[in-house]
Amino acid sequence: MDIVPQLIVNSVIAGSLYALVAMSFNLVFGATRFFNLAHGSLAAVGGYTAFFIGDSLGASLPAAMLGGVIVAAIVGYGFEFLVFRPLRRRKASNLVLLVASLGALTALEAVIAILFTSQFRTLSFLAGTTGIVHIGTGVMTHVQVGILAAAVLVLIGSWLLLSRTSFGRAVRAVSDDEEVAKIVGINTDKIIAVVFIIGSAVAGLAGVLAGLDTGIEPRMGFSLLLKGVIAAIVGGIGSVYGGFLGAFLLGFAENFGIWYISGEWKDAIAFAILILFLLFRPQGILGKKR
Amino acid sequence: MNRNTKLTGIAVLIVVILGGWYLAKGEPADTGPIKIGFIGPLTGDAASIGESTRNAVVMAIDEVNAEGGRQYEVIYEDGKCAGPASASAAQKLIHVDKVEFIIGGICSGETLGAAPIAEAAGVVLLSPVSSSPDITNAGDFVFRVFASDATSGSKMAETTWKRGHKNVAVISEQTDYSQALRKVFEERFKELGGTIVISEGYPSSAKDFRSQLAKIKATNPDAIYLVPQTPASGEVLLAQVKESGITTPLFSNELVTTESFLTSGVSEGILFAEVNFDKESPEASMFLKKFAGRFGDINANTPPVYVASTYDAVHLLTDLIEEHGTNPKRVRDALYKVSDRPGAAGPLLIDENGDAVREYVLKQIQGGEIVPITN
Repeated sequence: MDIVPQLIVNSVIAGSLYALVAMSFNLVFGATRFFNLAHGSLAAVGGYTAFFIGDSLGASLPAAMLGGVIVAAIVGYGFEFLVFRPLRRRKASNLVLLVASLGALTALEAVIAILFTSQFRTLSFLAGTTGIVHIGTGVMTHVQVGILAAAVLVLIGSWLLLSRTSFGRAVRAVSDDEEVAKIVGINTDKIIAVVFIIGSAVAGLAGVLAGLDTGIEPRMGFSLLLKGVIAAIVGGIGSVYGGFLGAFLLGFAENFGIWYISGEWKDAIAFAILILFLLFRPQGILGKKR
Repeated sequence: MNRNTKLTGIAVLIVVILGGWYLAKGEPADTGPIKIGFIGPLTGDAASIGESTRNAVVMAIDEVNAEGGRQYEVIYEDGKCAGPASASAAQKLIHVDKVEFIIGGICSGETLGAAPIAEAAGVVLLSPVSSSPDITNAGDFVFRVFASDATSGSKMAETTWKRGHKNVAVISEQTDYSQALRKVFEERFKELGGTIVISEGYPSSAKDFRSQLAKIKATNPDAIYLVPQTPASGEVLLAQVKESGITTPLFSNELVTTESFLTSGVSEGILFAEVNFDKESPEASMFLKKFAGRFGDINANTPPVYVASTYDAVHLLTDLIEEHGTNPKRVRDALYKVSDRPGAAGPLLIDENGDAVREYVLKQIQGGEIVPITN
């Protein structure tokens, strides 16, 4: 039974990282209603920018993190402005937008690989010597505590933004029905642009934190995205709170699931849960039936 | 038939005749460049190894071409460190580019994927670094200048047993190379009387091993045998082993010598068996200097012996082609006779199965340095 606290800790760590990706993915999906696969690559952008700032410019951790988040936000907005908005103008279907986002993801990963080579790198040089926290018989590094803190902060921040500000109300309106929101006078393009910026910034943060904890490589975005999307669907597609919930559920299911089964089945468990939900409750736990 | 049909018919006839004449003429056979194929992981998680070995090929071919005579041209294909991509790369090289010699694969999965295709077409497949025991019997035209893991896996099992460890936990990557090495280790260890308390596996893209390591810790093993292949996930695995507070003796493979593992300290204390790579030998130091001069230091994710071995493989192939001509059958026969041939990776002997016979020595990472151990 000694193993249980460590499994709980592992579930929380995994859940927090998935939560960052899932919440931001759901935020963007809620407003635009299409599967933005390029969202994953923004994590890679965040991670690599932090690496560049820390390595080539010799900056400290906070500067590198901030840089990573800002550049990811800019790139995310760039995608919206250059790729998705023109396509939406032409009434492109969601499938077209999905394929376009896949293209954006692949192109961005290739650019990163060209600029930085495919070599795996860690950002731990930014964090310096990190300490450990003991939770029962489980251990957690300070970076991992940071990931948990980030996930909780983003959750609280999203709640404040969405429920307590007029901007948040506008986002909820656009998320509910874009056409009607336009009719009542909301500048949907501007709302969507800001949503992209916020969502991409959080994805960039996820990338920086993943880089500090494990490391960065050009294709890191895709695996983070897959898990984030599973979490988003399970918790409730389009709902930021659903993203948080689904992410932790996924984290726990994965880590406790392999307690008695071999670890090779971890991904299989995640995707099995996805299939079950898509079959029996496609709107997710917190989602509304459309 | 009407006028349009007639004109179309004549046009088609002209195209067919021109096409047939061009195909029958073919490439100028005797003075054009000799085409060689290369299959390696140019993209994906093992891309850093693919990049360095590709550079070794480039350097070797440039040296050969600079000597004059018939020039060589290499066609590089991406094997993605797996069977399927490597098989289609081999198909393309053999049936479209018409190569008769391939340097590759780098990953064992690539070599195993390309082998049946090369064998059926009578094309020589020479792998610089693949070590899966399955390659030994993969074909008459399939060779390697590296030794089979059957040697290193057994040696690790024997070393672990001799040091008094009776219960061992194993964690390995789900690739052809790692699984073959794991099987050899587990079989030999059980033969000696030991127990494998738990054997975990992980996919190449995994970055979170914490729960599997918690499971391993809970079985209280005497030692842990780690079999990574991909540098990215391997480095994270070793880092998380340390993070989880595991102090059990660790055994692994030569991947732990890659530069980034040494500088970050994740492979500290790990015991492994490596092909005896003498960096100080005249051939090796000359090669390493030349390589560094042209491409910079070997990237931190690639064990240097891989790069040296690739360089040797290319020179071996071109030397044999110079001597015996471009008929793959004659080159194949000559490959079986290779014995005591000097090279950057050490003297080379190829046995009757097309495998290199190389000595494996025990080493340990101490203070970031690779230190040889005598049992």
